[in-house]
Amino acid sequence: MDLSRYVELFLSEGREHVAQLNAALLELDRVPDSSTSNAAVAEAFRAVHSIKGMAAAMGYTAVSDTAHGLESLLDELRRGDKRVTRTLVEHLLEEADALARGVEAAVQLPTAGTAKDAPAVVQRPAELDEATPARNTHVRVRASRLDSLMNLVGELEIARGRLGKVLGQNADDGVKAAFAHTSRLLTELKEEVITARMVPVGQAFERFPRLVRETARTLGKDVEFVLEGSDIELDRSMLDRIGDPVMHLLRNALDHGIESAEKRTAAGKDERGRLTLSAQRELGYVLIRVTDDGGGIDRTIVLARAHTLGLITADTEHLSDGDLLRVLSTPGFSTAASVTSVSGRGVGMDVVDAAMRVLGGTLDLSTTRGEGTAITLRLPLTVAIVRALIASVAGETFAIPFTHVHETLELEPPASVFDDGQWDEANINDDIVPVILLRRHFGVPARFAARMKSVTVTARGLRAALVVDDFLGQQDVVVKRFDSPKGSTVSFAGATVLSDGSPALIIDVNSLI
Amino acid sequence: MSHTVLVCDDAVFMRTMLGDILQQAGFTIVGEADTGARAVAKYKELRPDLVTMDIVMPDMGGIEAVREITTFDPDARVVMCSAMGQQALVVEAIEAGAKDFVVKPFQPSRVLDSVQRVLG
Repeated sequence: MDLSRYVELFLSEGREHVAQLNAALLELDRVPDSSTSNAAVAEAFRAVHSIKGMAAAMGYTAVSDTAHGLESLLDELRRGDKRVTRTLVEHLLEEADALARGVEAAVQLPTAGTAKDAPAVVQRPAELDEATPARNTHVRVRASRLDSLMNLVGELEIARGRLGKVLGQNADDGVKAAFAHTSRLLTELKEEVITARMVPVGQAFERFPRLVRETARTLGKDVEFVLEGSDIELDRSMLDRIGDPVMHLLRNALDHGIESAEKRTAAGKDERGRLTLSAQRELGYVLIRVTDDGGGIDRTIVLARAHTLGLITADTEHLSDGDLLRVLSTPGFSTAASVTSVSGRGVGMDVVDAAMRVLGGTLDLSTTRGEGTAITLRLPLTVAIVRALIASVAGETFAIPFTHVHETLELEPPASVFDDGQWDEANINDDIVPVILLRRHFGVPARFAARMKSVTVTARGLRAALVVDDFLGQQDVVVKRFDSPKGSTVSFAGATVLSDGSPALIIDVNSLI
Repeated sequence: MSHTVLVCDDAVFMRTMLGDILQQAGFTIVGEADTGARAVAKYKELRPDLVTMDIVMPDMGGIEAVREITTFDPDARVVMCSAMGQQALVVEAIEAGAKDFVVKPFQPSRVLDSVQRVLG
């Protein structure tokens, strides 16, 4: 029997079972003595048992031996011959690690009946599906397939837009009806493809309980970790890229947010810290939030440092949450050695900020001294398509992602603008908001009128009004990413092709503000 | 017409491998189940000629599933798939109505022998 074709399946499913095993063991650690611990033991047992069977079938003896040892231990727990203790869970977790390493290492080995070339792709699931009339079957699909599918849908969307433009001028009712029908189907197709790319965020969260537990232990802190909304779904490619930023936030919260047990007791708080990672749907977005009940960020220290580094104007006396986030996200700020001892965070916030920029998301912070900090990542459901406001500036077309758009309005520049061209801020509903003249920003002389079309945008907790020449409408645009040229003052989040076939640059609002 | 088989195991890997062995021998896989409860439901729906049943599965184990299937259809033909060291459970499964068993890791010839024997 040629086993090489099962290697990929072994690896992907083996990883799933390892994750299940870890989750079950952590559950066991959390509630060592209750009825749920029996369920956790059973779950862990099943996961190990599956790995053992699969490894044996593949001839990976080392893995099946490790699994067998772990299985025996779990079996004793299941029968009640052994009791769950911290030490035992510790040991089980170590064994689980060994098993995980074993699974990864085993697939590097040549399998029986394997040719020298790379392991073959597992073709089975598709064939199997044909032979299986049963409903609700699953097919494993390569992620890159879904990417190209999404890309094609995007291209189709553009083609549809062009067709619509052409047809608009040569109206024939039959053709129009057929076009409308095609458009509806295309919209459905797009939604289906987006849905097919969705996976529960829990898949990316699985490794965190373990990580939090270990980091807390290293730091000598007792922390309860709560996961919420693991079943909320997000685009696969997005999910792959939020893992590291979230890990950063969790580490920061543990290291700098949550205080030592002594400090907590002195402050009249529960000795055990609480760290929450939650996911939540909100309209077209998913909010990922890391909340701790620690000491909060010390604005005085951050303010002093920001002054020293010249990150804020000298007369600033108070940092709003938005200011704080901006200061903490400054690369120079976060790498300064002395900051790590600050009770606030700021370590690696620039990394998180950069990741959000790539994903078209935004970052939000709220912190209260003595009570804790919450950092929210606001992500669009998919990276591939964004809803955008289309605007023209100096004869060029630009797309402004809706994630950032607050409202469109007409602003009246001050009379003096016609003399000296200075216009730095505007009063919008009693708020003083900085004004950015996009013409000037793009290196084109500004033009002024009595009323000027503008859009207020928010990013990193800051607001600004962008002044454009005109608005051309709104559209779902397919994002083609590229890196801005080195040294360029204006950053773009990518480019797109509009429905009339013309190209447009997508403005990176984060870098603009 | 080739015989129809329902393959029950909580691991996709195992279902795939077992499915391959059976299909290459000319069987038709009409369904798969990843829990005992689903195995029972699928059996009632599909009425396959043969069932392969893993012992350790979530949401009702394989032995309980065999018991329910044979209560529903006393002529049901179920082959248990067990791991090494599960002899006691295999005996229990046979008592519950399973007709034979194969031990993992699967040897194709051993699987086919067992299946042919059970189908008579």
